[in-house]
Amino acid sequence: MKKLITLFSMTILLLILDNSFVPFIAIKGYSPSLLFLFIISYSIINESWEGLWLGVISGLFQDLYFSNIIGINAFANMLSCVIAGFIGINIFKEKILIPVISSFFLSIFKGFTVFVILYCIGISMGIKIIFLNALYNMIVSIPMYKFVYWLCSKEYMQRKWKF
Amino acid sequence: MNFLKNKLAVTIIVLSVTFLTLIGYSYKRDKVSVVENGVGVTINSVQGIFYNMNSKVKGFVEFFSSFSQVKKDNEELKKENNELQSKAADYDVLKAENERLRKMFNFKNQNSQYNYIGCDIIGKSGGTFLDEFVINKGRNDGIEKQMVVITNDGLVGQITSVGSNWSVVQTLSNENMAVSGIVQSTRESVGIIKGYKDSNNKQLAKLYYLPEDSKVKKGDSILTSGIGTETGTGVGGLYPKGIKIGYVVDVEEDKGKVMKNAIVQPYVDFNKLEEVFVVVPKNKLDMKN
Repeated sequence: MKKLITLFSMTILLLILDNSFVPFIAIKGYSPSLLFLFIISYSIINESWEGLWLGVISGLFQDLYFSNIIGINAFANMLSCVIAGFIGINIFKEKILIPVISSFFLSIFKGFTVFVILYCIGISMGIKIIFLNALYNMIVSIPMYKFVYWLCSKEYMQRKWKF
Repeated sequence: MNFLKNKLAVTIIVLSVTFLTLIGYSYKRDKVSVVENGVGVTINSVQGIFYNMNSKVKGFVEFFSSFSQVKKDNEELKKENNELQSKAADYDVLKAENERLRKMFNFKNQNSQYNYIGCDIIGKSGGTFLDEFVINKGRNDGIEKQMVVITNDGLVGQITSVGSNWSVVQTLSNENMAVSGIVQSTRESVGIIKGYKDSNNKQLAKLYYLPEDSKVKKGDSILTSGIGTETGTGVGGLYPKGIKIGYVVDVEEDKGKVMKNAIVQPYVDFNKLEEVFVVVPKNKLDMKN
């Protein structure tokens, strides 16, 4: 229960930070997404099944602030988290290199998923922004992964969910 | 293990289908659902505080980092203020005269058909992919999808999503917004303004479909023409004509389509917005009440 509350409040907090604080640290209009990095790091550490649900829930919250479309971030986050979970199976989780590189590629993956869906329903979006945001994401993912790793090593976070 | 993998695969497929259906269903709707609205209202109350705090901190830091500039600006503004005051006096006289003449000709003042609702910005939206922001007024104040958002400087963007007391605005710099514009100096050339970003990610706009023989040139002001939006959903007169959009910085010729495009620098700085106005047509309000 404590685990669920922790994850839920982290999601809300990072969502609010993404919308209110991150625009002020944007460089030339390119900005990272803290919530996305959080769920990716969490999925790498806790593997696909938990990552999937966290991705879906956080995505639904992100959709609240995404034009008029619901489901798009939930869909993209879900796929990204499942992939991150599979990456997490085969690596040493205390080493930071692979998670950081995965954050970069998964950010690009999410960007492209969103781009394709938006294109299909007739909304256009820049492509260049995907790469530069991903680069910024990669840098921010270093402290984020360390933080999530620390968070997940706590005892109450170790319990498995029963869905 | 095999079972678990199957469970994962089944969940992914079921959820994917659900989300894709939701996307298809939701992008055409006029207002957000009850659940989204409730969550939005709750989160916005906290978010607004955060956003304002951050923008104050930013303003504070900027003030100190550019103190000499601020001082210089201040002196220039004082000078300008004097000038403007004398102009304002002239303006009052002219306005009175204008009104008198209008009455004489029984001319309907077009701008009086619109209400201007002042809103504060309480957060950014659109993830990191679209340039959007959240404002603190919504359906309760008569705001609807597709309405135009302006500041004193000029056109800002369009409403894309409406909750009960919040709504999402997409700025002009996205390519998804289309407003018909007119070149102030030549007056006859009507084109479509769309968002545009140059290679430096600078937020510009582009005026498309100008006739080949148009006399548009650098430095010309572009205004809204007041003709409905191009997307087909536009109701005529959704926004007033004569809202400033920007000035022309470059003109390019499209030989293939035999027309000219003008690159426009918007008057509004989209990164420094704090307060905006939503333009609500009055007759639309009448219909509802």
